[in-house]
Amino acid sequence: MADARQDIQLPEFAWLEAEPTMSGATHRETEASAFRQLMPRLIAPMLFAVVLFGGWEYAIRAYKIPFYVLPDPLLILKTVVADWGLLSQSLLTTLKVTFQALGLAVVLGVSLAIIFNQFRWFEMAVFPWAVVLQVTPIVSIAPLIIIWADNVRLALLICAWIVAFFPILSNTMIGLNSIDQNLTNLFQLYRASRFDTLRYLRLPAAMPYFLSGLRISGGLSLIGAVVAEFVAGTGGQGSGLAYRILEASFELKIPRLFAALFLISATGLCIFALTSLLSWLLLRHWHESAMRKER
Amino acid sequence: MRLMNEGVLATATGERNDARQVPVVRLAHVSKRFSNGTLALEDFTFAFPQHGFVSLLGPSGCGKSTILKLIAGLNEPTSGAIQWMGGQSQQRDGRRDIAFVFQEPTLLPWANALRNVMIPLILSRVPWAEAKSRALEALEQVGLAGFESSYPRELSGGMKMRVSIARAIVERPRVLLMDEPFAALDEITRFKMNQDLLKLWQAHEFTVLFVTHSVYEATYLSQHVLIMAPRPGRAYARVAVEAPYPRDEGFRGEPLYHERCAEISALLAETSHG
Ligand SMILES: Nc1ncnc2c1ncn2[C@@H]1O[C@H](COP(=O)(O)OP(=O)(O)OP(=O)(O)O)[C@@H](O)[C@H]1O
Ligand SMILES: [Mg+2]
Repeated sequence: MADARQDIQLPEFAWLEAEPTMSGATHRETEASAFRQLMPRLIAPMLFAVVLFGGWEYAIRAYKIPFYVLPDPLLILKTVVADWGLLSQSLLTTLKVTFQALGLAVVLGVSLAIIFNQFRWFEMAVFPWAVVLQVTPIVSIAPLIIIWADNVRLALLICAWIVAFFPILSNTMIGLNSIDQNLTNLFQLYRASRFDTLRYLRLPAAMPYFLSGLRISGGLSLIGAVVAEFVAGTGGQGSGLAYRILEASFELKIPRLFAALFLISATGLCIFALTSLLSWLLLRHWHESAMRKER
Repeated sequence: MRLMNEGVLATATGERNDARQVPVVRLAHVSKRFSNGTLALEDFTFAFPQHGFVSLLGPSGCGKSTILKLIAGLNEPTSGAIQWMGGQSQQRDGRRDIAFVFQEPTLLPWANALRNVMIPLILSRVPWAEAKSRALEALEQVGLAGFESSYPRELSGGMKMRVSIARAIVERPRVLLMDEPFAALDEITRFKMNQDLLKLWQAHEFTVLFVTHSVYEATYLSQHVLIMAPRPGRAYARVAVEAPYPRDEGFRGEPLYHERCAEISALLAETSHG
């Protein structure tokens, strides 16, 4: 009886016995898959950059494009180094405005979202005006703000803040309300106070929403700071990167224009990387967006 | 004959201790109509005995969850009364009146197992160190010692349910409401959880109201099985399962168990088909 069963199962066992050799291969495969996972994230954009900048460099040499029309990447890097004294000053100014605006947007956006969440009538009264502020193009109100504010720096800050503020506000508002019905019931059962419900339930639930708003706002506050400075068009001591671009274009110092542009893009990239890192650090244990898919 | 209204008090049999058969909460002629016009419960009367284990069984939509929510105070009855013995108070000698185990684990995804179990204690301002040691103890009681710092994402369905149960018992409630807590588990895990639940119940002496769709689970666990009739929901019959506790897996082989299962199944079929 037992023998007969074994006979029948033998082909099956043959299948299973092929397994060990296969699992030897799977080990190499996991390494390969780790590489394949890293590949699109890091290596692909770098490869693309090499191709892009290599092609750019080549095209300029091949077609002998003059540097005052389009400088080549190496010249831009050289200009960054050569003009570092001036550019770093401006970079610092732009960074200050950007981060102050972002900080203000976080503080005011989150506070306002909490107030809206706690007092519905206040939301009904005020939120539409936040929307109005958001949908009005910043370039069209920047001149007014520059006239009203008594110094340019403050005007830039206000402009950058207006642009950065809304995504944080609206995302946090959605987050504060996106709570599982059962968890709401649970807190109601425990007779949690409004404050405790906010602290232990609503705020943590809003965190992923807030963070995705922060990532958008990080880029927007830089854009706001740059755009406002363009509109203001005033330079002098402690002017930001946008003014360096204006100045360079007036003076036809095209490599410097590109150097300033490069710094702005690099800043934007760093802000995005920083906010993404922050988001990952805060959410990695629990939120889908930060979880690595188990394979 | 089977129809009854007054709950277990009049005809209690097979209780652990007759002197204890005092109701802890009594629903008197309770009706519940939702704002969309659904009449979920009509004239439901039942008294839940103190330290008892009662299961609610009935076709889907007959108002079982509604009863638990009414008792928990998450919904208000449209008419009728919910009477607590000695009045309801939130905290009494450090014990909460009610704990609720929902059908889903309902954990805070951003908090690890320990923090999840600590939540009720934190909300009632128990000092941190004490809250922590009590939560650890509760986790140990549900067999999750060593998993304190795991996040819900890292736990299996059964483990999450255990965390949810630990959170419910950590405040030593007088009444434990459970709404199909094991419905999503495989049978072996469910049997194990049934065992553990009975142990906890005997250790803590709380009153359990247990909603389930499984005749076998209800019979295995309960002192009394309350069968409900649908549309509108009302109490249809009560079956006492007189077997003593502790009950172990062997009980599932006993004639009494099979008899009760058959009886309850028949009653359930009766109510479900009109
Ligand atoms: N919030 C609500 N609003 C309107 N109707 C509701 C609400 N909650 C439940 N009902 C209705 O009340 C009736 C009873 O619902 P309940 O959830 O208590 O049933 P149940 O016995 O728990 O069913 P199940 O076994 O499927 O969980 C159902 O007909 C349902 O449609
Ligand atoms: Mg239900």
